[in-house]
Amino acid sequence: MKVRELIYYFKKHKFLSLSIYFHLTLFFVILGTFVAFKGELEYESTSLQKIYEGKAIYQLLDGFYDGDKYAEFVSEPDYLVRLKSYYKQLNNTSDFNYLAMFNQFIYLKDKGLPEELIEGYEQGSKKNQVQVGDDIFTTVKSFQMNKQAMNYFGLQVENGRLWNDEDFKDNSVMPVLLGSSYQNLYKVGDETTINYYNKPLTVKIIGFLKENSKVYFNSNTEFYLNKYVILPYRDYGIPASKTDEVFQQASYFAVANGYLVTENNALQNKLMMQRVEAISKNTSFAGYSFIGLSPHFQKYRGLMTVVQENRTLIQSIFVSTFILNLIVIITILLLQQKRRLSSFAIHYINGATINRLIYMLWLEISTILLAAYLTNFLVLYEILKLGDMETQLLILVLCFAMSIIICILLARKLLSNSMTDYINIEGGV
Amino acid sequence: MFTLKRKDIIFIFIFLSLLTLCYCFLTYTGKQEKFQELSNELYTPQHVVLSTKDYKENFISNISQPNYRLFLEYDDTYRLLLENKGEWSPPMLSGKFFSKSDNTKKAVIGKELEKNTKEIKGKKYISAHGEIYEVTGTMGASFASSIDYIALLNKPIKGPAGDYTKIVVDGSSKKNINLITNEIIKKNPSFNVLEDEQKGLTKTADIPFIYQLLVFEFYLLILISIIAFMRYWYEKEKKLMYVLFILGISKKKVYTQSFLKIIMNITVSGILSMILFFTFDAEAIITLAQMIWVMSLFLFIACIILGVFLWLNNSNRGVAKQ
Repeated sequence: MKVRELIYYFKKHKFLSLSIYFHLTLFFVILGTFVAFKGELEYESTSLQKIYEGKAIYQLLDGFYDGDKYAEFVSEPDYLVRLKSYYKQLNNTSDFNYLAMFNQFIYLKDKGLPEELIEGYEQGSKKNQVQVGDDIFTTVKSFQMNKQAMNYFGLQVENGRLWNDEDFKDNSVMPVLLGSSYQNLYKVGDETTINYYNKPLTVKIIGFLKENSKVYFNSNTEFYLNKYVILPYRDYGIPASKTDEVFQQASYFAVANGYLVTENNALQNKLMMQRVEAISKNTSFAGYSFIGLSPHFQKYRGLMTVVQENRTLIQSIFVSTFILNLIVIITILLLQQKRRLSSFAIHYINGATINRLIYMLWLEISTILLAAYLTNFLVLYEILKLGDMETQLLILVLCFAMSIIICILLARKLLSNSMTDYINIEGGV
Repeated sequence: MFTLKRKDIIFIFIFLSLLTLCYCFLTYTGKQEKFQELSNELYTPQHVVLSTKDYKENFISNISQPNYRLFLEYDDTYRLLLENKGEWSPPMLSGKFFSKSDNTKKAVIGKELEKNTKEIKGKKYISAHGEIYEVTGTMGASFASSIDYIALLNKPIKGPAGDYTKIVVDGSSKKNINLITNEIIKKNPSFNVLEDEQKGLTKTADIPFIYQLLVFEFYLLILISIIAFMRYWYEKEKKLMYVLFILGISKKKVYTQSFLKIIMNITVSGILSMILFFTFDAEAIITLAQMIWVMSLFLFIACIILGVFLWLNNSNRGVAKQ
């Protein structure tokens, strides 16, 4: 009987019930969107904080920029061993994080590469191509980093996987990561050929970085890796030939220049400098120098503060939207239900108990609320894929709270006044 | 005649809430766009970056569009404002921005560049690639942002051109910007467009998508709220209207009274909401004109909806037809 009554109610107020249903659905969807928005900003601000807050970044350079000094160094018999040892100790110390990063371009086998991926695109260069056998190779943007850099910046993949420890050992095939702009050109598992520091290498694609992954490089806190081929700085054994030695020389000199990250206090800074001095002495690698706090380092603060301010803004608009919308919705629901009081009075005359009436009242409200909640769940969670389970649970709780509040407000009226008050007059206002 | 009954108060209250909600949201969108600009080095999300190796001073002549800006980036810090049609100015902390009548070399700098200025005879000067510019103002927001490291110049630096030049076209409408970009490329084939040069909020945190979604959902919500309430109102008024019909009053008169009623109610709620907003909102991001426009829109929508309901009712009912 209750269900029949419910169906009759909905049939009688088709349009209004439908409008209220849509209204509620949108209300829940907006709430979900706001929460998702705030979540994204919070995530971004915490990851920026983790990377930059309270940290000092120094750039370490090798001291062999002078051509003669360089030639003198590489003419010594054990220079490569010392260079490797220098890098190994820098990479493994616990006094600071050593981020070896550089953007040396590579030649990539060209099977139709878009212009934006080539080296020098931003400076207006056109494709720089070389023919090797049947294939054409083009210079593309490339970025090299060690494992510490990958971990420090919290890089994540959209497909595939990141490097593990095995990937940094010397192997015939080099595992590479690609920026998200390469998604249309390759897939995970593809192999191709590159030329890196004059050495041809076979590379295998193990993953694509998430879109808009960024690192700190060259005083730029927003160095986006979307258009880069990312190579790992691997450890090599004894060079097999002269060409191999030249390759390793270039590679290790690249990693001897990197970024040192430490806590930004005098004690840690001193420890860091002492450690680098000790390593240099230990490996007899005498030439190094620091560039202190890169000039525009504080730029990170710019992005992070804007993100935080944005979060506060979202919070305030969220609260005001929520409250105002809630007021409008509850008023409309209340008004609609008040109109029902006269039909409830008729039921009462026909023998219904007050509890039954209250139950019917609650049923009418919560059916619409539940239908709206389910639609919202479908739209937000399944179709738009925004927000998480927690948000949906919160909205469900809100749903119940709303139905109970409206029910209580009206039930009070039913209980306090006598039914005859409602028989004659049309409810509502 | 218009008399204030309890149901009118509810009507006014509901529309007051909806209008206030709308104004709050407009304020939010204004602020959000300002944040995006602040984090993106003064550029809007729809700006276009052009680069060329072959820069000539008069590459733009007689561009017919109004309301756009052209920048020339010398490097990360110094930037020339080539053209500024449409009274744009960056958020200023002190001093004043360039005016059309400036003849001397002037610059507007971010907070962090103040330590690079020299003070001579009470005026501040900054050196850009060897040339001296007078600093007329400081731009920025109350919090740290990317524009703290930028200097805007009003006259070009006379020096040897670098390898390549970067030009940025910016403005408030994407269509305009595309038209201007196409005009520039047609007249100067050596220019090409650089893809994907966004920075800041527009690029991180997936903001553009969620933001557009939010705006769309919000306007839909307002529309549905108005529909829901107007339906309720219509269903209540129907009974009254039929009684009046039976009493002999003409349909036209009854309908006119209904429309007048809702127009009066919405106008009153509009005025009240404007007063409320002006008292509490110190920053005044949205103008009075915008508020009046929103109120008229609400009026228009409410009238259309009521009209639709009445028309549907007319064509369905058979009992009390004229």
